[in-house]
Amino acid sequence: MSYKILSKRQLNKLTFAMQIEAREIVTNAQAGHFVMIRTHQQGERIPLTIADAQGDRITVIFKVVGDTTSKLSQLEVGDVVYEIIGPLGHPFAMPKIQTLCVIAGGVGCAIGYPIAKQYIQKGVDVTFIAGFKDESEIFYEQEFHQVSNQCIITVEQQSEKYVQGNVVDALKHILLSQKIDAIFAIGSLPMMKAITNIGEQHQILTVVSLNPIMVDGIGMCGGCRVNVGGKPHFACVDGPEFDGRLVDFDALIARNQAYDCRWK
Amino acid sequence: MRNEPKLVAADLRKTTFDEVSLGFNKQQVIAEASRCLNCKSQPCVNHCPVHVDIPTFLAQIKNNNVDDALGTILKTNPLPGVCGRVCPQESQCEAACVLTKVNQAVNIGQCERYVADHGTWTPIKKKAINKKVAIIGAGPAGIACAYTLSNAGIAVDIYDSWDQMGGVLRYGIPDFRLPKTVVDQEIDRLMNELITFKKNIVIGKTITLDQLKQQHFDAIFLATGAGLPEFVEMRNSDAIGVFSANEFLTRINTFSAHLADHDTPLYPMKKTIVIGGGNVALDAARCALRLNVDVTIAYRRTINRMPARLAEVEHALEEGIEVKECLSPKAVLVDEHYKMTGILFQPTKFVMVDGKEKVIEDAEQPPIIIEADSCIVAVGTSPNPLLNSTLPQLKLNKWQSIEVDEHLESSIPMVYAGGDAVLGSATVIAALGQGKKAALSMIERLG
Repeated sequence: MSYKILSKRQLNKLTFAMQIEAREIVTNAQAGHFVMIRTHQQGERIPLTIADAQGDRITVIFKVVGDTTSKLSQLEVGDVVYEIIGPLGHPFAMPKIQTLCVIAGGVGCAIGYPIAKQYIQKGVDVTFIAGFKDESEIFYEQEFHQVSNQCIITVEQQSEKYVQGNVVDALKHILLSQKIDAIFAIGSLPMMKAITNIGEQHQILTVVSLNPIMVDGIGMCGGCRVNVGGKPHFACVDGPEFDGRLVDFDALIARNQAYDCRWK
Repeated sequence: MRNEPKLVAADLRKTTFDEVSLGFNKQQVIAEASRCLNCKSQPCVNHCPVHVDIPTFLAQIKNNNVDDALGTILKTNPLPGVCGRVCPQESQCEAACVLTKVNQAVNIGQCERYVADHGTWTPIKKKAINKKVAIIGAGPAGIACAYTLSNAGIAVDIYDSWDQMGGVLRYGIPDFRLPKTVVDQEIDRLMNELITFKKNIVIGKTITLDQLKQQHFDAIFLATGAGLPEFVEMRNSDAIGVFSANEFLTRINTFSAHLADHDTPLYPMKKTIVIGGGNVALDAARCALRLNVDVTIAYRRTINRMPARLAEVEHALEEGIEVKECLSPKAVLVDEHYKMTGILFQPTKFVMVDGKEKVIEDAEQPPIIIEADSCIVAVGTSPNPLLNSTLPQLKLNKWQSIEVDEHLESSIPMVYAGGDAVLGSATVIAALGQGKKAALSMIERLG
C-alpha cells in the first residue's frame, strides 16, 4: 500500500482537507471511524477521523495544532505518508430516532458532516449547528446545508450573515421550540461537556466523540483511557463515541494536556 | 566451571540502551560447549518447547563448525539470537541439564546466542505446493508458523497492524536486552519467497476475517498476542503521569521517543514508581533509569517471589533501582491539575492457602505514601479483543484467550490459534513452540 496524497485543500488558516490513497481502508470505513497516521518513520502516530471514504481514497480534515499536524500540512499532492492504519474504532450508531441534532465546533465540523449525511440519507430530520470563531474560519457551509433540514452557523464575533454566539446558546434556542431525539456533539471537551449538560437537563441522549492521546490506536497502550460510567474505557477500541452523560470530562481535559510540556 | 559472558559495568550501562551482556568470544563458547556430556537421554531437548537439538549444536561449536551449528538450531527454532537472549533457560533446557547435579548447567543460552550472531546460513530453495495460509500477527508465534509452513512449501501472507514484523520483540523488549538489529537480522534471515508480509493491516477492521476467508486461503492462524494492558484497581488510576508499561515501552522501543530526531513525546518524569515484578516491570524500570529517572519498583510480594528472570532482577539492582517489597497500591495522589504526586500503598503479607501463596493486605500496618511524579503499571496483559470481539463463533475461555484443541484448531474450522492469544502472556519460546505446532497440524491437513 502506498499512502499518496491525491488532493489538498486549505479550508481556513489552520485547517486542511486531504484525500489520501488508501484503497484497503475504504472497504470497511463508515462514519465515525478513525485512522492512525504517521507522516514519516521517525514521526508520531496520531488519530484522525475519516471525513469521507470513496473509491481508492479517504479524506481527512485536520487543524494544525502540534508537530505532526504541522508536518502533515506541509506535505503536498504526490507526497506519500509513511503509514495509515484503519478504519479503527466503532462506527457511529444511534437507536431509532426521528430527529438528530449534530453540533460541531471548528475542525470537528468535518466529523459532524459524514454523520449528518448518513442520517439524512436514512430519512432522519437533521439539524446541523456548526460553530466557528469568526467568519474567516467557516468551511463546508454549502455541504452542511446539503446534509441538514436546518443549518445554523454560529460565530463568536459580530456578524451580519451568521448567528452571533456559540453552539451551546444555539442549541438552547432550538430546544425552546423543537423536539430533538438525540444529539451528536464533536468539538472541544468543554463544549461537549456543556452540550451534555443541556442534553441531560432535557433528557436527550447525547453522544460525544472523544479524541484523547493515542499511541497505537488498537488497544495496546491504554493512553486513551477515559473514565466512562465509573470504569476505564479505551477510546480507540471501545469508542471513540460515548454517551456523554457517562464521561468524566474533567479528568479527560486534564489528561489531554499531559504532553503540553515536552521532554525534548 | 560454567562460563559467563562479560557484562557492561553497571554504572556505565545505566546511561545507555546498548546491550548489557557482551556475549561469548570464540574461546569462551568452545570451552562452554565442550562441557556438554552429550548424555543419551537428552533432557535439555525434552525441556525445550521447540526441541532444539542442543547436544548436536554444542558438539558442532566444539568442532569449530558454527555455521553447521546454526543450521542445526534453525531446523527447529527460527529465532536463535532472540531466544539465546530472552528465553528463561534457567527454568527450561538448563534446568534439565544433568550437570546441574554436579556443579552448574551448560550455558546453553549464551552458546545459542553466539551461534546466531556469528554463524551464516544458506536457506534451501523451497518447493511450493500450491497451498496458502493467512497468519494474523507477525510476532513470535506468527513468525514460527510462517517459517515452518514455508519450509513445507506452503505460501504464507502474514498480516500485522505495525509496519514491521516482530510484535512484542519490537514494542516490548528494550534494546539493552534484545537489540533491534538482532530482531532485524533474524527476521531477514528467515524471510523467503513464500512469505509475504502485509503491513499496517488490522484484521477485524481493515479486512474482516470473513473477507479474508474469501481470498482463498486454505487455513488461517490467529497469533494476535496478549497486547491489552491491565491496570490496577486504584483511585485516580487515570491521573496524568500514570502509564501502562505497554505505552511507556512502545513509546521508547517502537517510536524511539527518547531520541531527539523522533517526534513521539515522552512524559517529563523525574521520579517514577513501577508497579509489578515481572520481566516487563523490570524492562520498564530499567528504561526509565536510562532516561535519568529515579526509579522505585513496588511489588506486592517479596523480591525472591518476583516472576521476572533472576538475572534481570540482579541486573536492575546492580544498576541502582530500588525495590520496595510487599506493597499493594491503593490510590494515586494528585494535585489540582490532576497530575500524580505520589501513590498510597497498603503493606501486605502472604499466607499459604492449599499450598498456594495468597497475598493478604495487613490491616494492622498503616498505609505508606511514596512520592513520585509518575507511575508505570506492569501487572500483566491479556489477549487483544480487537479481532476476537468481531467473531461471535470463536470460543474464548474465561480469561478471554482463544480456546483450541490439541492440534491448536479453534472452534472455527480451519482457523488455528497460538501464542499469547491462547496462552495469555507467556514466553517467546512458548509462542514459537505453538506457532510451529499449529503449522505442523496445518501441514498434515493440507500437505
